[in-house]
Parts: sequence; structure tokens; C-alpha cells
Amino acid sequence: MLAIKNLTVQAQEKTILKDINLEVKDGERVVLFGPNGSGKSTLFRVIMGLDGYKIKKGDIEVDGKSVKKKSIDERVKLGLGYVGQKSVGIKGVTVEDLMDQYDFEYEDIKKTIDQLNIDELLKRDINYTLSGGEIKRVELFTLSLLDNIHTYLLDELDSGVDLENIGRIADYLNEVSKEKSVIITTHTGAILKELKVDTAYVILNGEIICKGKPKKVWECINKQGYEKCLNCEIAEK
Amino acid sequence: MELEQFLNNYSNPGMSPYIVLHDNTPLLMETSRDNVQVLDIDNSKTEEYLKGYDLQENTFKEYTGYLIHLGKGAQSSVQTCFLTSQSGFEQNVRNIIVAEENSKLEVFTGCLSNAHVKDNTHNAITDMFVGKNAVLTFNMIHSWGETSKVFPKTRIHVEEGGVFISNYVVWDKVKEISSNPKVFVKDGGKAVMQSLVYSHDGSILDIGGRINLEGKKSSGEILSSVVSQGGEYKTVTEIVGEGDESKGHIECNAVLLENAGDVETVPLLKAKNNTVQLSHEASIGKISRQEIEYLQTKGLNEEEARELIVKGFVNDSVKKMPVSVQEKIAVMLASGKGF
Repeated sequence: MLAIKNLTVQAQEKTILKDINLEVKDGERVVLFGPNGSGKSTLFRVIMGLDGYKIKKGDIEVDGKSVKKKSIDERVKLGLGYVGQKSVGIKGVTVEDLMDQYDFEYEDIKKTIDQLNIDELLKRDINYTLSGGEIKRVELFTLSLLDNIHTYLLDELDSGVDLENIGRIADYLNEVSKEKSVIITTHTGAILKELKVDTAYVILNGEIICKGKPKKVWECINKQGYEKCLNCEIAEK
Repeated sequence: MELEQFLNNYSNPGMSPYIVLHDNTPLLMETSRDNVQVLDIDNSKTEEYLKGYDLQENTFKEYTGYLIHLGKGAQSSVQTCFLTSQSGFEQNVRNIIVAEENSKLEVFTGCLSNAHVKDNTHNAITDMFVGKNAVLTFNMIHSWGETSKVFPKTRIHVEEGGVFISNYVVWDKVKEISSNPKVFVKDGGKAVMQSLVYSHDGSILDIGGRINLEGKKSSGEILSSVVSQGGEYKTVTEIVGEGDESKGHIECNAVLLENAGDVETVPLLKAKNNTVQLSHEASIGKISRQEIEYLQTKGLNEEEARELIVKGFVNDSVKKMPVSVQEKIAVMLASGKGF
């Protein structure tokens, strides 16, 4: 289980996340809505321990234990799997080079390669000159090589991805995440047509301002815009 | 490095002719077959093969060296190996390579000193001639000792439609290298000089070069890649566009592993007429924090991430080099550098 408790974060002396409380139970699927710059990606980056942020207050717990002082890779080993919104390309390092870092039998991953249709991408440099859909598929594949991941943090998985690829990604996630927890962010909502989620949160100006049923919250946002979420009566506060 | 280890890992034992030049002793393994001649540089027969060629002056008193000559239309691969076995020794090498019209030659050169050898110097005067529509690929991997000094003077002449490709790798520690080959390219000819250099703490490396695009529609590229852990690395590279519609490009990429080394890149482009196209690009920097963090999100620790990124830099630098060179580099990487 992942629990964010009273989390307040600063970057360059400015508070960018304020008193965030969020709990993702085992097997629960959560969606985080919010406009650009609201703090969705920042929250994920802070959970993963990426550079550039200072936790002023609160804690991040995985299965009841604080991970605040853990390195990124230690957090991964504790079960957090992350796909960032912006891809990082590494010239000269192919997907196969990354695969060489793990122990696995090819037969065990063949199904995932086929499901995500990435066979032809394995010899390409990681995230280098790949399309948006190809990048997300490669990212989900490399995540699948880590067999201890129990919580997926997927940031804007549907951004820059065509409908066919969104369908393929959602089918894959629906299958592999049956016994895993998932938190996704989206501002287009496209992936929600294919992927079932249990709970929605709305984040605005670094604060969580709403929690509710995903369908209702999304309808509310579409109808009124994010600013009206502050006084919304449809969703559960 | 010991000879046996070098021969197995850095050279091509199956290649024939396979010649070894030891200290300043004459070349004993001469070859003459199928329009391919490998001769000691002082063999009187060399004169008949070198008539009319514009050679650099041989200023050495004591020296060793070879002539590799391919006749018209011939094809061959030659492995050469320069070996120094005495401390303080000054090896002087006078080499000439001639690939006549329509021939195709790949030379793989390894240079080393025995593990116990200290303070040796390797001087070389080398001329290469690439005939009309001929192709000469010259691969060189250095493995001199930590106290070795290396000073080659190299000139390459590429005739109409000829192609000269140089792949130069310096991975093991050396005290000093100053290497600035000069290439002259005629109509429709092409010259590509690629280098991959690991700059170690205490090394002084001056590895540049010049390409004169003399002919119409001639082209040239100088691609330098540097992994710097310390020392001083300088590359002054120059392309002079003289021939109509000639094209040239210079690129230098350096990754800095420590906050200790100096890396200086000086690209010079000179256009002698307005139909010439010349360009250059360069990047020097430490390993990106973003890339390290990305690989950490894949479960690699910081050290593993840095190592993989540097291997990627090296792999990208050598992707246009022949497979035979890439294989040697894979051996070097596998030996573990601890980036």
C-alpha cells in the first residue's frame, strides 16, 4: 500500500505541493486529474525521489514504512514502478542493453513483447527517435522486467498517443494490473474509456481539492472546468 | 599489456598477412601474392612500387617499417602490429601504404609495449595513397604503456572517387600522443576520420587532423568522441573546402566522468569558394543527471546507471566503425573500467 501523508514540498523555495493526503490500497486503481502545472507530475516525481524537491513536511510510506530517505532505485526495489510524462532518451543504449541488466528467461517475456508489439523496437536506442506511442509501450515493457513492482505510477500515459495505441496500452494494463495498484494522471481522460479506475482525485495549485467516483468527477470537470471544482457538489470532498 | 593478451583481444589473429614490427628491427615476414605485396621498407623492390608518389622525407636514422602495396583491383586485409620490448627505447617507423585504382584494402593496426617497458617513444612517418575508386579502411587500436609517448606524422592522398576511412581508438592509458594526420582529397573522393579516446588522469592527448577537400564534389568528416576521466585532451580539427561543391562536417562529443580533466575542442572550417558546404557541432558535458535518474527508476543503482550511459556513449561513437573494431571495443568495455 502507498500512503502519502500531509506532504508539503518545496522547489526553489516555493511551495509546490501542500498537505497532500492520498492512499492507494492494494489492488486499487486511482486517477489523478488536474490541469497542466497543477502538481500531478511533481507528486509522482517526489514519490519516486527524483532530484530538485525538498520535503518540508509529511511522509511517503510504502507498506507502512517511510521511503523519504531512500534512493530512487531503492524505492523501485520496494515495489514502486514509474513511467514519467516526459521521456528520457539515452543515445547508444538500446532497449536490449537495458534488458541485459536483468535476469529473466526470454520465454517469460515473449508474451509481453508481443502484447505491446515492441519486437522491432528492442534494438533501438531507448526513447530515441521513437513516437509517443512507441515510447509508452517500451516504458511499460521495461517496467514489466521488474517482477517486484506492486504499484504503478503512470504519468500522462495517454499523452501524445494515438487511439490505437491507447487501446493496446489499456488492454495490457487491464491484464497485468489485476493484482497491482495503479495511479495514473491524465488531462485528456482518453485512457479512462479503456481502463477501469476505482477512485479519482483532483489536484489544483498543488492541493488535492476533490475525491470521488471517476466518472462523476470527470463529468464535473468537463462541465464546469477545474476552477469550479473548488465549490463542486457532485463529487465527494 | 602482455603480447599474447594483446594479440588475442585487440588484433585479428586469423588475418593474413599478419605482420609484426619489433623495436627497430627489419620486417622479416614479407609477402608477395595475388597482387598484394608487404615488404620491408628498405627492400629495394619498394622503389618500383613507389615511382611518382609524393613521399614525406624519412628523417629517421634507425627505423623499421613496411610498404603495403595493392595492385589495381586487388582486395586484401592486413593485420599489423608494432611492438616495443625495451624500456626507454625510441621506435621509429616509416610506413607506406598504396592501394591502387579500384582496389580495396583494410588495415588493422595494433600498437603496444610489453608490460615491463617504461618511458618508450614511438615515432612514425606514414604515407598512404588511395587510388582512383579504391577504398582504404585504416583501423588502429593503441595499447601503449602508461609512460609511452607517441608522435606520428601521417599524410593521406585520396584520388578521384577514392575513399579513405580511419578508425582510431585509444582506450588504455598512455603518457602522451600528438597525432594530426593530413588528408588531401581529389574529385569525388571521400575521407572519414573517426576517433574514440579515453583520456586518463595524467595523459596529454593532442588528437586532431585536417582534411583538404581539393577536388570537385569531394567530402570529408572528422568525428571525435572522448571519455575523459582526467588528463588533458585537445582536438584541433580542420576541414578546408577548396573544390567546387565539396562538403565537410566536424563533430566532437565529450563526456566528463570526473571534475578533473581538461577537454578542448577546436573545429576549424575554411571555405575557399561559395559552393562549399561545411558544418560543425560539439558537445562537452558530464553525464546527465536526468539520464541517471531515469535508469534508477528502472532499478539500476547510480553506479550501474553511469556505467550503462558511458557504454552507450561509446557504442554510439563506434556504430559506424567496422564490426571488427566494435568487437575489440566490446572486449575493452567488458574488462570493466569502473566509470
